[in-house]
Amino acid sequence: MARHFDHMFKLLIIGDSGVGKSSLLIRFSDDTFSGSYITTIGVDFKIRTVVIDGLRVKLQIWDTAGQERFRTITSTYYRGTHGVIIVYDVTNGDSFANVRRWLEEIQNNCDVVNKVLVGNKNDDPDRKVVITEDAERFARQMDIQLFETSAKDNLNVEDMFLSITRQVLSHKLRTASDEQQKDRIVVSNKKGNRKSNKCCS
Amino acid sequence: MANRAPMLRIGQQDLKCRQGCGFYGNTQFDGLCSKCFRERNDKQRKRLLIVTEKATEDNNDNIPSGPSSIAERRSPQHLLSLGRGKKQPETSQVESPSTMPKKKSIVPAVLQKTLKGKFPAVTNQQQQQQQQQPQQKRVPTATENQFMLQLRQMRLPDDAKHKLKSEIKRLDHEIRKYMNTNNAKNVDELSDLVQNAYTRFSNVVHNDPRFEMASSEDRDSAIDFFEKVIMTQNHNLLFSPYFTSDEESDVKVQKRIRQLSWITAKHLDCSIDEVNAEARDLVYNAISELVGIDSYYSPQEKLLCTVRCCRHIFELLKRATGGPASADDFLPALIFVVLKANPVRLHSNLNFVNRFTNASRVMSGEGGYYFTNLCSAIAFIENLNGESLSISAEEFDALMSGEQAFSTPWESALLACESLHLISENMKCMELLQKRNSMINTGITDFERELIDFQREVTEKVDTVMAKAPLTLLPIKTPAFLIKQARAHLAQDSVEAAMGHYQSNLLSGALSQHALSPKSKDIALEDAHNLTLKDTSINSVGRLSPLLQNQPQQQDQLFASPIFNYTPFDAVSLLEESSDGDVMMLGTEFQGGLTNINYDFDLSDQSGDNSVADESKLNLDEFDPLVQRPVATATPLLDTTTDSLIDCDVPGTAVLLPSPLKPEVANYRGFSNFDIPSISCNTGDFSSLGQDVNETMETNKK
Repeated sequence: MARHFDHMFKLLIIGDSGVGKSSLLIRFSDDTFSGSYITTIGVDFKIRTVVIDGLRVKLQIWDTAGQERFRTITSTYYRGTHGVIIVYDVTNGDSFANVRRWLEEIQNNCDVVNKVLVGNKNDDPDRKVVITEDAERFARQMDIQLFETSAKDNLNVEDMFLSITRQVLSHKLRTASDEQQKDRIVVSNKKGNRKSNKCCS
Repeated sequence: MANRAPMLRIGQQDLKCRQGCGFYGNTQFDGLCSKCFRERNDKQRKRLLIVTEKATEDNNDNIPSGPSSIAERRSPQHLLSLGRGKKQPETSQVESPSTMPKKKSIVPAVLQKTLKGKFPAVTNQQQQQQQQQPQQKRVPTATENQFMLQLRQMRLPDDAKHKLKSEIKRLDHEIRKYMNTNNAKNVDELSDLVQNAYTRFSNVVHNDPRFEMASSEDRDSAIDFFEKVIMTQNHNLLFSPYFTSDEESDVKVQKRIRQLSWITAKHLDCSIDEVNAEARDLVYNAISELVGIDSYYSPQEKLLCTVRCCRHIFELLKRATGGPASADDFLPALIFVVLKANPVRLHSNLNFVNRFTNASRVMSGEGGYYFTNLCSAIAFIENLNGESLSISAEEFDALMSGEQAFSTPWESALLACESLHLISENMKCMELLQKRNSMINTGITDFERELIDFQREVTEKVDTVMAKAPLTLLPIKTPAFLIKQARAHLAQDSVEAAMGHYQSNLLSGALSQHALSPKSKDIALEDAHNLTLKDTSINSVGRLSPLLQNQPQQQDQLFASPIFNYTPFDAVSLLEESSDGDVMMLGTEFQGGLTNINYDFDLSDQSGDNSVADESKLNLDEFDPLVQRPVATATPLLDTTTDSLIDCDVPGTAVLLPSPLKPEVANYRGFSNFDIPSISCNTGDFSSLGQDVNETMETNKK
């Protein structure tokens, strides 16, 4: 394959089951949404190339299972991840409460990673239980950018993905300048990751 | 686990001879058994001899047909024992052909040599006996040929290809060197070795001037090729190495999966419908792909297999949920598939890919995504407990220990599927039979209809023919010479002639010129009239069809009866009979023959109440000379010869009298029943008959 992109990033979507991770992903990669589900297209593996500041960035977005019982095994997904999207459901208080645990999960599996907090299903004010102010306060506290989106109404979805991409890109460009000297360290870092993963599996 | 202390627990395979001969090895003999060790020492001594010979020889020959270079390449273990100092120049010598600019035609030969050198080491020392014969050429295997072909097809400059080959050889050599050292081995070191080689090669590909011409696509394919060749050729060494516990983990996870056979889709909250046949097919597809992972050598192929497996699962979920599946659905489904598939050497395969594939491959890309999912699924299976299946710990334990009986829809559906399959097979069979049966039935009805149609057709045809040409009884035509003869006869035996009414009747009918006496003429006329009326009105509608037999038959239908035992009337018989003495008997016979006028039906009629035969019998009785008027008839007969019928004005006589002009036609088609053979007298042509019929009809009307 000829290189149609300048950078390739791996993004991970995490969050409780049923918060709309897949919907966000499908909305972003295929720009389709119909009612409760999307016809014909499945979330098998989604890739989308976006252009940011004239650079073509290929985004590889990995969907994860959000069930509680799979939480311990999702560590392998974090390998080589550039950015993590933490999703909660604005109509579900528990999913928001669990965000803290997901953040811990990230902490345990990645050293430095770009994150974004997403409150999905923000299309029905009557059913909204997670108030924007609370979420914003929490995001500030955790130093994460917050987005309230709706995959159904296509609210903020594109912005959110572009934002995390921008974050990752700037992070990469920032580290790339150091990379000349720190090449070896990066390599050893990789190794350490692999070893730890082996222990898990 | 990879870092385990080698002395803590020694696996069975670690105790065995490293040659794989089945005997126990000894650490003093480099882990070989005594026999293999001796053999190896012998070989080493021989090789040492060759190498030293070679060293003294001219070393210009770069084409690696020299026995020493092959031997050198083939046994790195031996090389090590010889010492590193020796190895260095040899290696450079071997590599020199690839670094030298070469024509493309040499490329296959070089690669062949590469593989030749590499392969025996892979298949270990079983072939050492063969290797000992230096001139022997190894036929490359199918995979080797394939690689050579691939290399040739690669759009790379020749020197880049050479670089690629040399890199392959180098890593190959490194791997075997590592495997053959006697120190405690660590799979992570091996993995790092390979990974570093990948990184190094990747750097070469992207920075080396020889690859400058290549497109990024070609570079990728070169890296791919590099990995594939190395992994395929060294699969035996790298896959589940003996110094790891991969095999034990394989057995462990296999046992666990077997224990977990009671898990259903419900336990996992996954939307697989275990009873649905369509879903089941997709699960089977996914399972076969998952099991197929083990059958591939290179990590790339294993990953592709995983991807295919997962695509089947996604397809399955898409159908089950009616929409796209998310990872929330996917992971449980994958776990379910892994549980039902219970693939062999699960850990070995996963570890092989994890350790020896390009690290980026499992961290990104579709293959990486699915592979990660697969790893997670297995991790889940290994760690799952009652809580993760939302059942109580007690129940979980009971199920795991087999105390609690279980029946999963999967297993029972498996059984049910079998029987359903059988049923459907039988149903198909039945359907086929039914189809055939109905075909036969329709065939029968068709045939019946055709039969009826045919009958109707035939009947219609016959009817039309009958309508066109009804049976007409034509007056007898007696040849003139017969009349003369008869007259002469009469003249001769006038006394005899006077004996019977019939005789006279015959004469009166036959001898048209004779005038009858008024009395006898009346009788004769009456008689003749009766007969003619009957005879001419006969239409003889012979019915062919047995179906139509019930229809009322026409009164004047004529059926000949065997009772009469008619002999065909002809001139000869007439002459004979008349000359015969038994006139009475003949008379009866002749009566029929004469009055019915030459129609030689010797057919029987069993049905005929109305048959003419009876009536003619009546007539017979009426005119029986013996019964009624033995004498009275005798007298006028004498006079009959004197009177001529021509003088008579009775219109019926025209019919009665035989016309010499009219053709002698038999128009009766004698058939009444199928079982009675009919002799058709229908020899005349119908056109003339038609005329006759019309004529006779007219006469009848009169």
